[in-house]
Amino acid sequence: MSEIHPREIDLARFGDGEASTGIAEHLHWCAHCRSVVADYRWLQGEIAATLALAADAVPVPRPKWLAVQGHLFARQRRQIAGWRASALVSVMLVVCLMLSAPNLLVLCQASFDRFVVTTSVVSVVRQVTKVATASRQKLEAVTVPAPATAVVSGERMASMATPTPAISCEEAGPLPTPAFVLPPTPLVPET
Amino acid sequence: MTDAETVARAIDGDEVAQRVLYEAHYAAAFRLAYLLLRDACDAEEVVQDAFVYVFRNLRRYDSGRGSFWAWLRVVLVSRCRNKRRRRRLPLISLEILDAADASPADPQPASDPAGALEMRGVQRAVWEALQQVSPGARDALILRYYEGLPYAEIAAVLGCSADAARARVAHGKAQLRRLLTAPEGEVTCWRDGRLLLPSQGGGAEG
Repeated sequence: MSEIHPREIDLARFGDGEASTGIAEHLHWCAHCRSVVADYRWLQGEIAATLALAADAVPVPRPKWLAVQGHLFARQRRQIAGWRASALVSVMLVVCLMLSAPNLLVLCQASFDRFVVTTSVVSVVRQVTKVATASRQKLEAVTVPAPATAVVSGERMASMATPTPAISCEEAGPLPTPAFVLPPTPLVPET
Repeated sequence: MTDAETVARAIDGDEVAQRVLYEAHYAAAFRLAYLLLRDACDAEEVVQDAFVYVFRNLRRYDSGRGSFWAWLRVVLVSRCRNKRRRRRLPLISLEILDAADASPADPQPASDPAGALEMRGVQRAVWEALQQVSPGARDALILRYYEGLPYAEIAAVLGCSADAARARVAHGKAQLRRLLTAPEGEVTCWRDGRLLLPSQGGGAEG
C-alpha cells in the first residue's frame, strides 16, 4: 500500500484506460485519487460531447468543386506554358547564334570532328601498344626461364645459379696478344 | 462503388471519381478543420488547399497504409497547423490600420460556436476552456475525442511518437481540469466532482 499519490498526469492516463497496477492498487484505498480519476473520465465524455456538438452546429459551406478543379487546371496550364516558353527561348537562342555568328557552328563542327579523329587515333595507338606489350611478355615467359631460387634462413631468397668466380689481379694471366697490333706511330719532329 | 475503387479511378485521372471523393469527404474535413482552427473562413480555405494538394499527389497515396480519409486527415491537420502558425504573425497593411482607426474593430469573431450553439453550461465551459489549452495538446484532444483515433494514429497525424501523443492528451486533460477547477476561473469551478457555473449561483451542472 503506497501512501505517495500518483502524479496527476498518470491519473489522467489511467482515466483514459492506460493500465497501471500500481495506480489501481493505490485507488483501492485513496478516495482523493479515485475522485480525480472519476473527474478525468467524466471530463473525457464532456470533451467528446462538446466537440461533437460544436462540429455539428457549424454550418458547412457548399463544396466548391469548380474551385478545386480550377486550381488543378491552373497548375497544368502553368506547366504547359512553362514548357512552351522554355522551348521557344531555346529555339530563339539557336536562331540568334546562327544569325550573329554564322561561322560559329562551322567552327564547332570542325573542332568536334578534330576531337573525334584525335581520340580515335589515340585509342588505336593504345590498343596496338597494349597488344605488342602482351605478346612480348608471352615470348619472354617461354624463352627465358626464371632463375631457380631456394629459401635461405627462411627469410631471404638466394640464387642457385652458378656463382661468378672471383678473379684477382695476381691470378689473372697475361692478357692475350691481339692478332693484329698497330705499330706505334713514330714521332716525327716538326721541321 | 467502394472508396477504394473510387480512389483507384481518381488516380487514373477520372474527374468524376475525384469529384465523388471530394464531396464525400468535404463535410468531415471542414468540421475537423473548423475544430482545429476555430474559424469557418480559414477552415474552408484550408480544406480547399488540402484537397488540391491531395488530388495533385494522388499517385503518392498508398492504400496499404490506410484509408483515403486517413491520408487526407494527415494533410489537413498539417495544413491547419501551418495556417495557425501563419496566423500568429499577421501581416497588416497600412491601409487596414488606417481603416481600423476610422471604425472600431468587430469584437466578436466571425464564427463563435459557443454563441451560435445551444450548448449546455458545462459544454460551454469546456469549449471555452479548450480555447485556452496549448495548441499541441488541443490538436491531440480533438483527434482523440472527436475523431476517436488510437494513440498510434494520433502520432502519425501529428508527426510524433505514440508516447508523445499519449503525453499530449494527458497534459491537455490536466490543463482542462486545472482551468475548470481554478477558484478564480472566469468560467467555472469544480466541487465534489461536479462542474459548477458561477453565473448559476453554485447550481450543479452536468
